[in-house]
Amino acid sequence: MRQYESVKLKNEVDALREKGIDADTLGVLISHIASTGQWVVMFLNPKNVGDYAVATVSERDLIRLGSLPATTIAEIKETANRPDFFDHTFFLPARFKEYDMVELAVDKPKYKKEGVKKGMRGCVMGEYAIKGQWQIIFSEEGTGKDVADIMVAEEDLILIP
Amino acid sequence: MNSFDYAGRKAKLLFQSGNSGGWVKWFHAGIPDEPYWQREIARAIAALFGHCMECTALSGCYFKDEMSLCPEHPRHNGCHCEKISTEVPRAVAYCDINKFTEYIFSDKYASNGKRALFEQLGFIRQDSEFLKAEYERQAREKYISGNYRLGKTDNNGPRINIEINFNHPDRGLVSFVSGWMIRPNGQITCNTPLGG
Repeated sequence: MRQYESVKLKNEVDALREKGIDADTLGVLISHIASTGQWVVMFLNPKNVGDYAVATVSERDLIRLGSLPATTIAEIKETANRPDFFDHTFFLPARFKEYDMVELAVDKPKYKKEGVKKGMRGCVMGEYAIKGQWQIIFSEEGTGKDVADIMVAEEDLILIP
Repeated sequence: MNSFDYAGRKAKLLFQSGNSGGWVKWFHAGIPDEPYWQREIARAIAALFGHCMECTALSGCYFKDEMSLCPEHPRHNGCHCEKISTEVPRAVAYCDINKFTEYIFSDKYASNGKRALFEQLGFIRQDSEFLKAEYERQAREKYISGNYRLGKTDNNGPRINIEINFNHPDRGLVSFVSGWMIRPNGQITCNTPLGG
């Protein structure tokens, strides 16, 4: 394994599961901790694109996937040099899953222009969020017609059991 | 890019011809089409780095090379995307069966009226496998024929609408407007079997 190569978490590790990092999570090797058989890994949240968590992992718990494009490696290097890079140590928990019913909890211009107002209910149509936003399809009552298929911030939604 | 350059590129697009393949493939630098893990990591890093998520989602997607069927390009000032002339893709349409079992025919969503519309055609939850296969067949044929309506593009990707037709003995031809997402490598995935 080499720095900035892509890996996948092979085994469940209790310390990582507590951070929301489960087996099969993709990651990037950031640095090798000499003489320990461990790596500092940047894991990518599969439930929220753009979210990540940095953790120390034993090499035996990782599967090497391969190299990344040069552009991506350059951006990883720059990201890893940010002062707050190592502050992200756990995944943001996902409040929703696909096919959950949700209700819009706020009125905002970006939703209103799509015809969606506070109190309207919709269905979560994606497996994961992107930068904290979920794909929601809002439908009219009774007609079968959709009002909008839009990305909505997680904090603007409430789960309807 | 200044406003004159931007206007010039738009004008060129209006009069562009000569794409004998009739299709274009969208390309954003640094975003591979596959393998899946490489694309996911590249997009996630691009998100952290501030790249336009709409553009990274578009990378690898195929569109018919007509203004009404292909997203506008460039999408913004400083857009890193290109459109590459190409042939019709080897398309695959995928409709998760849960779109029927957990959404259309779900008791939870019955009030939206979609289940009733399917039931009027004689379909019930047990027909989900048939419906999934039929949606995939018709959607694929229509996509590669350019018989789709372009919807909006956001961070999740580009949307298209495709009419799925059923012949009813009493009602004749009934069409449902379904919603799909274009994915890389000629794949389209169903967002909703009935958008209205």
